[in-house]
Amino acid sequence: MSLFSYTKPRALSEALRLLRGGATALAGGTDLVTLVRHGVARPERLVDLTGIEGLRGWSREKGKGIRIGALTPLADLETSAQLAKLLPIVRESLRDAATPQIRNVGTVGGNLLQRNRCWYFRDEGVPCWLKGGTRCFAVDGESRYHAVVGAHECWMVSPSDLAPALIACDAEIEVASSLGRRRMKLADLFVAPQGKRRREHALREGELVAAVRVPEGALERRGTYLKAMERKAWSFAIVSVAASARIREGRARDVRVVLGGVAPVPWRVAAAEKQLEGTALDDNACLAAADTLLDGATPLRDNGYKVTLARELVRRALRSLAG
Amino acid sequence: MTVAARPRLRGVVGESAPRSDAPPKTQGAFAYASDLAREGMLHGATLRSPHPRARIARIDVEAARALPGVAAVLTAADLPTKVKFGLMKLDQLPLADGRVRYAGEPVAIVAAEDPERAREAVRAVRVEYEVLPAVTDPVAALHPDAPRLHDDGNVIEDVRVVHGDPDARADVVVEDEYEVAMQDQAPLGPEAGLAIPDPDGGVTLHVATQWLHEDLRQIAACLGLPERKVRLVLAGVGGAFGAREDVTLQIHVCLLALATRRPVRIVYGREESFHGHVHRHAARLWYAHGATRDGDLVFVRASIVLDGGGYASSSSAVVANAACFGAGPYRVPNALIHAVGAYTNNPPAGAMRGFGAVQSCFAYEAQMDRLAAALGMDPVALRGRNALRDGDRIVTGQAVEGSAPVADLIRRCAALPPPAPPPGLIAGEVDLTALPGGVGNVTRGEGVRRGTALAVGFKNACYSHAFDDFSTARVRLVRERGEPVAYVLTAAAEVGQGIVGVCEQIARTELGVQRVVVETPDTSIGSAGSSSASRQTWMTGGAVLAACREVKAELARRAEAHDRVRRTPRDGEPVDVDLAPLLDPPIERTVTHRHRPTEPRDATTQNAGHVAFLFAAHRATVDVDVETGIVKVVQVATSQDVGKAINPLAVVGQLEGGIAQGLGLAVMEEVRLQGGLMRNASFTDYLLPTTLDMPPVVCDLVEHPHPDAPYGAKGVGEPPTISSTPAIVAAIRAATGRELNRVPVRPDDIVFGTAARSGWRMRPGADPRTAVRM
Repeated sequence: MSLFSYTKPRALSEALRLLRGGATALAGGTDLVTLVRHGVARPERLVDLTGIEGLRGWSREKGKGIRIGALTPLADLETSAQLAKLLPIVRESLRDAATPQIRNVGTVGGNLLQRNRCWYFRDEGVPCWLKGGTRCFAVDGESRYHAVVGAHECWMVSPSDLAPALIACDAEIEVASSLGRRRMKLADLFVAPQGKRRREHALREGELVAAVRVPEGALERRGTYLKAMERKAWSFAIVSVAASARIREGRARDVRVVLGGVAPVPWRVAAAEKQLEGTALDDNACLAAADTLLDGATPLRDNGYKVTLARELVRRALRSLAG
Repeated sequence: MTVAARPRLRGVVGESAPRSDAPPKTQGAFAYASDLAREGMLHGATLRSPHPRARIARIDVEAARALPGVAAVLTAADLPTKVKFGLMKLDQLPLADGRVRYAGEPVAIVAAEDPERAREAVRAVRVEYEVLPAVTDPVAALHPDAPRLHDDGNVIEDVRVVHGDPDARADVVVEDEYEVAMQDQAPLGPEAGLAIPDPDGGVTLHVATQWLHEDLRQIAACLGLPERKVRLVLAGVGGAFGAREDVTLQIHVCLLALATRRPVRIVYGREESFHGHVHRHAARLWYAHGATRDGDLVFVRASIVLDGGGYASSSSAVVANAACFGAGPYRVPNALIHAVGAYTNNPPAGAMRGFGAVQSCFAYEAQMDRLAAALGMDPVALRGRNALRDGDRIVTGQAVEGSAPVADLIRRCAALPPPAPPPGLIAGEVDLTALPGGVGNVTRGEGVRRGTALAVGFKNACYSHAFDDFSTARVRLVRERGEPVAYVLTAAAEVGQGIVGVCEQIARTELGVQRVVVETPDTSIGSAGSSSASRQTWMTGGAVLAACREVKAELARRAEAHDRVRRTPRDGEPVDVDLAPLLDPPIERTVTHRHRPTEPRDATTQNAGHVAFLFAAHRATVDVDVETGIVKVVQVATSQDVGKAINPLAVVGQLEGGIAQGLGLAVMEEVRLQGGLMRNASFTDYLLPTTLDMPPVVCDLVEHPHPDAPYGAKGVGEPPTISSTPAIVAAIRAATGRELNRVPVRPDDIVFGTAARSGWRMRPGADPRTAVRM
C-alpha cells in the first residue's frame, strides 16, 4: 500500500473542492480499500465523505418520488419496511448483495460506482487494457464471468445489484461538483469502456454522485429482481434481471428489463421493452423479448451459459410480473 | 445406611463435554498465530515468481536493500546451505535458485520495520526471468518427450495394485473417464509465524502447523543448524485440513530472524495463502468395472493421474492412497490399478482431508451407479451385495480386521429419515432459502427436480507402508491447593479437530481427576506426528491413555506403600484416595505409543500396508432447477463407523465440517488455473459453501470398536469428505439425467450436459505414460 493523504471534511463544498483538486472519494471503502490493498488503485489523496451530513437517508416527496442520499448505507434501504412497500425491487436487489457486514458499511453511491470484478483487472500483475495495457486478457483466457454482449475493448461486466433495479425504476442521479449540480439518468452513468474511454463510469473529474431519485411514476409499477449465483449467498451475479411493468387488465405497460452481469453496463435494449408493451407477458412474448435483449450476443469460451441463463431468467422475471 | 454422594466427574470419555479451547475461540479471545507479536519485531514478506516455468537470469536486490526501514533482503545466494526441503522427497530450495517451477514459488524474502515497507521492498527487487513454456497437463508431463522439470524426471510416484487376475473378463462392463479439479483447504486462519533468534545462535519459532517435529527437521536442515538449536512452539491454528502439513513460511521467517538478529513475523494474506500452501491434487481417472449378470463385481481396472505440481510434497503417499483404496469398500476379486503422480508447472499439490481417497471415490462410486444401471439393479442393493465384510481382503490383499460394517452402514444410511418433500410451485411470500436459487429469487419452484443417491467410501487411519508412526505424551499428576491436577503435554497440534478435548477426557477418565490442563505443544517433548490421516485420537489419545495408566500404577504403588485404601476409579468417579501425601513429589510419566507395524509397499502392492480402515456412507438429496442448473443440497444423511465416540458432539462437528468440504468440491470449489496461473486466489472468486449452502445433516454414529484403538475409537476426520462428494453428484445425476463426470459440477454442466474430456485415450489399468492423444 502506497502512502496517501487523508481528509475528512464536514462540508460538502470542502469535499467538492478537494475532489476538484484530483483527490479520490472514499465512502464505505468496501471496494476502494481492496483495490488499494491489491495495488490496483494508488490514490495520493483520499477524501472521506462519511463526515458530511445531508447525503445520508432517503425521503419521499409527494408527487416527486423518492430521493436517496448517496451516502445512505445499503443496509438502511434493505431493512426499511416503508421503502420495501414503496419500492420492493430495491429490497429484492439488496438482500443478496454482498454480505450483511458490507451492506452495513457500503453506500448507495459506492455501490453504483464500484469497479468491476474482472480477475485480470484486479490482478496487479496483469497489464489489461482497462488499466492502460494493450489488450483484454479475458478474450482468450478464463472468461466464465465475463461479458456476453455489449463489450468493446474490455469484457468486464457491471457487478452492481442495485443499478439494474434502480434503472428499471427510471432512476436519475444528482451529480455535484464545485462547479454546480446536474441531473442525469442513472443508466447514463454507466458506459462501456471503449476507445479513449478506459473507465466504466461517466462522471467527470471532480464530480460525485450526491443522490438518486426515483420518479413517482415508477412507484406504480410492479418490479422484481432475480439473481443467479453459484452459491446461495455472498457472491456476485452470474446473471441478474431487474424487471418492472405496470399491469392493466392483464396487459403490460411501461415495461423495463435490465440485465446485470452480462455486459460492461447494466444491459437494456429499448426494442425488447417496446415489443412487450401491451402483451400479457406470456411465455412467447417474454422469450421473444429475451431474444431481442441478447441479440448479437457473442459469448467467450467459457460463458455461453450466461445467454441461456439470461433468457430463462428474463422469462421468469416477466412472468412473475404478470402473475 | 446412607452413602454420601461423591461429586461425579464431568467430561469423561463418551460425553459431549465442552472443550477448553472452545469458549475463547467463539468469543474472539483466542490468540491465533496471526495475532503473535513481539516488541521490536520486523515484518517479513515474500517475492514470488509470476511465471510457472522460467530460468532466473539475474536478481538485483540493491534497490530493495536501500529502501528506508528495510532490514534484510535474502535470495538463494544468501541461503546458509543448499539443502532442500520437502515432506517426503527433498526437492525444493527455500528460495528458488536458477529456476522456478510454479507461479508463486518464493524467490526472495525481505524483513522491514512495517508490513507496507516490506511489501514495497518486495516490489523493488528486480528479477530477470527467461520464461520457458509451462507444462500444465499432467498426462502430457508423463510423456517421454515432455521437458524434464526435475533432474530425475517428471514421475513423482508410480503405484501399481495387481490383485487376482488382472485380465479377468466379465458379463457386464462399464467404462468412463472422470476428472477432479484442484481444491483448496481454505483454512480461515492464514499462515503465520513468529521467529525469535536465541542467544545460542539458534531460533525459536512460534507457528501454526500440523506437525511441529517435521517442520523442525526440515527447518534445521535448511538453516544448517543442529536440531537442538531450533525450537518450535505451536501457535493458535485457525484450521488446517492438510494445508499446514508442508513448510510454507517456516524456513523464511527463521532465515530473516537469524539474518537480522531480531524477531520477525510473517503473516500471509488470503491471496498469498492460496499461493503459499499446497492443494488437493487435481486428478484424471479412467475406470472400468466388470460384474456378473447377478451383480457380483468381477474386476476393477483403473488408471489414475494426479497432478503433483512443481514439487513433490506428499504426492507419493497420496498416489499410493488413490491406488490402494481405488476399488472402494467392496469385495473385488480382480483388480489392476495404476496410479501416477506427475510433476507439472502447476501449483504444488499435497495433503488435504481424504488424501487421495477422495479422487478415486468420486470415480468408483460413479462407476457403481453406472454398473447398477447397466445391470438394471438398484444402486444401493448393488453396493450392499458387494460390500466388504469382516475379514475380507481389499485389493491390496490386506484383510480388514476389527470391523468392516460396510453393508450395515449402507443399510442404515439408506434408512435414515428423508427430508420433507420439495415445496412445489409457490406463490406469494416464501422462504427462498429453501429453494435452489436461495435469496437470489431465481425460482419459486419452476424447473425444480429432486434427486437422491447414496455413496460409500473408505480410507486408512494413521500412516502406512512401514512408516514409523508414533506419538509421545507426558502426564504429570500434581497437587494444587489440595486438589489433584493432571498436566498433559504432547506435541499434537490442535487444528480445530478437538484433540485438546480428547486428551482432557481421556486423562479425566483414566486418572479420575476433574482438572486436566493440556499444555501448549512444543518440541521439548517427542513428536506426536501430524494432525492428519485421522490419527491423533488413535495415536496421541493412545499415548495419553498409556501415560495415564502408568501414572495410575505409580499412584497405586504409593497408596499401597502408605497403607491406604487403594481403589481403581470406576468410569465417571473421582479417584478415591486422599492424594495429599501421595503426590509429593508429583508423579510424571512419559510414554511413546506406536501402532502395529505395517508392511512396506511392494511392486504389486499386495501387502498389509495399513493399520486400519475407516468407513462411511452418505445419502444426499438435492433439488435442481434444471433450466438454470442451480443446485440446492437439501439434506445429507450419513452413517459412519467411528469405533467409539469419545465426544459425540465433537464427532458430529467433524462429520458436518467434512461434509461441508465434500459439498464444496461437489458443486463449487475449484482453484482455477490457466497456463499454470491461478485466477481465483480470493474468497470472492474461490467459492466456499456458506451456511445457506450447507444442508441439515443427519448423523448416525455407528460404534464398532477397533481392538487396537483407545476405547476402540477410530479416526473420524476424513471419511465425511470422501463419499459425501460422490453422493451429492449422484443425486444431481438422478435429478437431471446428466452424465456429470467432473467435480465441481457447474450450473452450465447441468444445463448443457457437458462432459469433461481430457483428450487422452487411456485403457483403464494401463500405465498412464502410455496415454495417446485423441
